[in-house]
Amino acid sequence: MIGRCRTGASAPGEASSTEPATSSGVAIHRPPPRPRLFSLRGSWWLGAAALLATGGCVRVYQPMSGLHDPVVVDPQLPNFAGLRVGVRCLPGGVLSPQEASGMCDKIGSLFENQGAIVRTWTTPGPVPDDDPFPSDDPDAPPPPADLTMQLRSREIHHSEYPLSWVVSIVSFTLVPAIIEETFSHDIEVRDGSGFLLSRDELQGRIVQYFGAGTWIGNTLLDLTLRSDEEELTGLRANEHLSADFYAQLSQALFDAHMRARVLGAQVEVTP
Amino acid sequence: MISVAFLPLLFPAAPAPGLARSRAWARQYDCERISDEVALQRYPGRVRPSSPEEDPDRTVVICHQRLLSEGLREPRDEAVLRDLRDTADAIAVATEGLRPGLGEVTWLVDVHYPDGEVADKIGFATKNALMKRSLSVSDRVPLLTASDLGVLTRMPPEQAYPKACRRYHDTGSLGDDEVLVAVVQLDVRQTTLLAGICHQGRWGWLP
Repeated sequence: MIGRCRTGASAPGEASSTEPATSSGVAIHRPPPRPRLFSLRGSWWLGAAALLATGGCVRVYQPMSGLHDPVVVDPQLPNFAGLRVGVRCLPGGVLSPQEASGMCDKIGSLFENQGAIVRTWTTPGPVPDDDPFPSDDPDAPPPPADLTMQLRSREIHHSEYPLSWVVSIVSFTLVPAIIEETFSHDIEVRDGSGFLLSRDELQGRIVQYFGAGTWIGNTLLDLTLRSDEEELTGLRANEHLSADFYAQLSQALFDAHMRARVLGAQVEVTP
Repeated sequence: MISVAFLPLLFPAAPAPGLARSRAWARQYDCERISDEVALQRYPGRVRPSSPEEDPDRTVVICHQRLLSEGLREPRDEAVLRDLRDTADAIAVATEGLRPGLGEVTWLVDVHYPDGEVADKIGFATKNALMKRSLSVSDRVPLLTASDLGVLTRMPPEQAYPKACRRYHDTGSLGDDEVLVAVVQLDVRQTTLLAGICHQGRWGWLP
């Protein structure tokens, strides 16, 4: 990587498991390096330029599909009271086991705050035996999850716009250098029997602009013209991404819950 | 002209917020990054094929501007109406497995949704999807008495819909050669629709 925003936050390719769920980006770590258009590593002049440029970096989040769909569920309300929810965050692709675990913990807190009884795990298969759902009858086997949400994350595109770095250096960083990463979260919700209730793909991207021109311009706009919701500098990208991501998860689980409710009653009520 | 030609190499292709673009403006677009191959299939003539010199793993960003800006419609209505064509098609497809056992029947559509105008649109789209499959569709809607409705509305929906179906049959409101497709939003917090069918007093939710 030739440059990173020094915002105190993780880039989409890095872990952010220590940040609170309400203000962090979604933890994804960078996959092994792939062949680029041409290699930028090892170029001393570019390193020097990156060093200059990272002093002024603006990291912007753009929802692409699914992440900015309308949401009705209010996560402050007990939408899932008493519901046993399993959250499985599968490592692999762009998520390390630690990052998958951190993400699962945040999602677990999100659903617990809405009244659900949550178990999280990062391995394929059902709820691990060491942390089953509570049962009223101590002699009975532990009950299965009413709903299980499974998440996979992957990076689907990465571009460093090499020419933008050249132009940025030539222009003394008035023109920004750019790094762009597009990511996807694949979400499945199944009922207790494993029946697939819903499947969604949330796609978004993080664009990092490096350079004095873009940093000064955006900072001035944030300080003067932009409303709080429109601000772009600092940790805003993480806040915006988290707000969209966790809202979509709550809505996806609620919609699946409604579907499971009627389909589960199918056998009992059909004459 | 030369500088314009370099712009795609300098800046991300899709609308990302920045100096010249606000967050609200960027959120008006639904975008997806898809492979070159998929893009050429879905948008023939509108995506430039990659040349042999270009990256064989090239991807393309496709963006569509939303018809209405955020906030102009209720989020619930916006979510339902945005996916309405797909939802209606999915309902029609789900009925396909049931048709061989039903014989020659007429299909009726009833929509239970909090907003009347949106309910009309849902009904229209569902009937269209059924008619596209060459089914006989009627505009008639079966009715229940006020006392029936008084009882049913106090029951949870899992029980109310099967009971209503039985009453449609028992009262003759729904004939033996008619099938009712009910498109339902069970809870105002839902952004999806559920559907069930009623035939000869038997009710089933569509998967």
